[in-house]
Amino acid sequence: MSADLAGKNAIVTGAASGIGRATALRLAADGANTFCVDRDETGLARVVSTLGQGHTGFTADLRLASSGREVVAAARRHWNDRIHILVNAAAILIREPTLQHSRAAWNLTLDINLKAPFRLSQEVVATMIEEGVRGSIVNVGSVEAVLPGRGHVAYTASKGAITMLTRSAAFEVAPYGIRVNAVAPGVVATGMNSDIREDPVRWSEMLAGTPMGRHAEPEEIAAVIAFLASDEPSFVTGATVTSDGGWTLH
Amino acid sequence: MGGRKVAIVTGAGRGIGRGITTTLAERGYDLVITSRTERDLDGTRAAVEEAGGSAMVVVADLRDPGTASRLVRSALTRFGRLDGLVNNAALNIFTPFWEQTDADLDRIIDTNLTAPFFLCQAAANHWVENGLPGAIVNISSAEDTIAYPEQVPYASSKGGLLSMTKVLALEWGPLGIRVNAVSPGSVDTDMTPEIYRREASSLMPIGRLGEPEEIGTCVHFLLSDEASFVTGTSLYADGGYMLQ
Repeated sequence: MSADLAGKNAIVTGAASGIGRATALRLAADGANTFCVDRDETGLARVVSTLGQGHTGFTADLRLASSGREVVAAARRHWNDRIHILVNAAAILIREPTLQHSRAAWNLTLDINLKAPFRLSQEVVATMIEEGVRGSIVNVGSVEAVLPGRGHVAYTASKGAITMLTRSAAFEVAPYGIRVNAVAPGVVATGMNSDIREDPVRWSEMLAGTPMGRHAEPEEIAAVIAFLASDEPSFVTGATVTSDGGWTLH
Repeated sequence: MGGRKVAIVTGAGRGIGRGITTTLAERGYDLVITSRTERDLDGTRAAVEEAGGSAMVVVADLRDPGTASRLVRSALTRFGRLDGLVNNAALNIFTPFWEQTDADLDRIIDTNLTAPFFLCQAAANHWVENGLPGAIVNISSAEDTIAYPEQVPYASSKGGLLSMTKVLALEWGPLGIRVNAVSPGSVDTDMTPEIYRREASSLMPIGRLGEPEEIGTCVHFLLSDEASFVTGTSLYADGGYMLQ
């Protein structure tokens, strides 16, 4: 069963690959018009051509402070100011041990994983309030907000921050009928872990922590995002839906 | 498996239970509905039928040890299948801690924690014996995490229910049985204290109480294959109450 998103306009970041791509495809299948954002122009073009008519690609580098305003301004022009959904899926993970974690890696990670969702949310909320749109924002967090992995401290910190960005934004915008929620995925097969998947030993170690005994496909996370983006959970805001096959249970 | 799915909903006669039942019926479920009060269940059955579903009414006391297997058997006898279990029935008695009686403590823990435990066991036994997947949603409460005065047994039972949800999810994850919770905040039912209704606009970040059907949509999502990688978690449907 699909959530009904007919006629809704949705911005999806990180739409060229992984969870972002699966989300763009899923929201489109549920009837939404998508505005797909990524810095990977080729990947973006491929997704948009798969999506077909009524969908748009927008190349942006989310590490730039100006990108939030640019993305939302372009989406406003495109949709005559009506934006109903924002999905912050773009993220990077840089593997460097904590003691050697470089300033460059730290800054880049926080710029993309935390500041971009903040800036985009700020712009989108302003638009929704102006237009009286009772919209929905969905952030992609991670189980690492609860149980850290090793060797990518900036990523883990940024995902912990997403939990509270979600809660504090939700609290402030609730009176406007705007909902802000997050999904916290466990192990999902994406480009972020393709190197580990090629190593059977490391990959089975990673899966050993998942009681369901398998990883998720990006589409399974996209299904949770589609639910949160829809009007179905109309009484749910500030929540994080853990989607981890049981990873965080012990 | 095609056709209509089948779920058991406890405490289905009123309030959130009726909202869950109606929502599931609208979305393709037939239901085994249970409560101690037949008249309440008649109203729910009418709502299910209006939504295009069938309901089997089982008048039962969840404190009776035989009820769990009876409910599972009812689903299989009447509908030939069981896809989901929703443990919704709950009891709350507002009393200062030092005045709580043993009898009330037993009633609350039996209804809110022990009955869900044995229903989970009965449903899971059916699924495991037949190599079938299954999904369980336990209706917890925002009080599984935050405290209110004068309801120690209720809050304890909900904290226990949440922990039980996690353990069962962990144990049954490898078996294809997902176990999750929905933790509602203040929902508008005939049990809602009048003061909540009066002060909802200032008490709730979202500015209103929830409707029973808004819990129903969350239950429907968690029971469905849409939530295929979601287990052992609780979906807080509280209009932002826990953000304050």
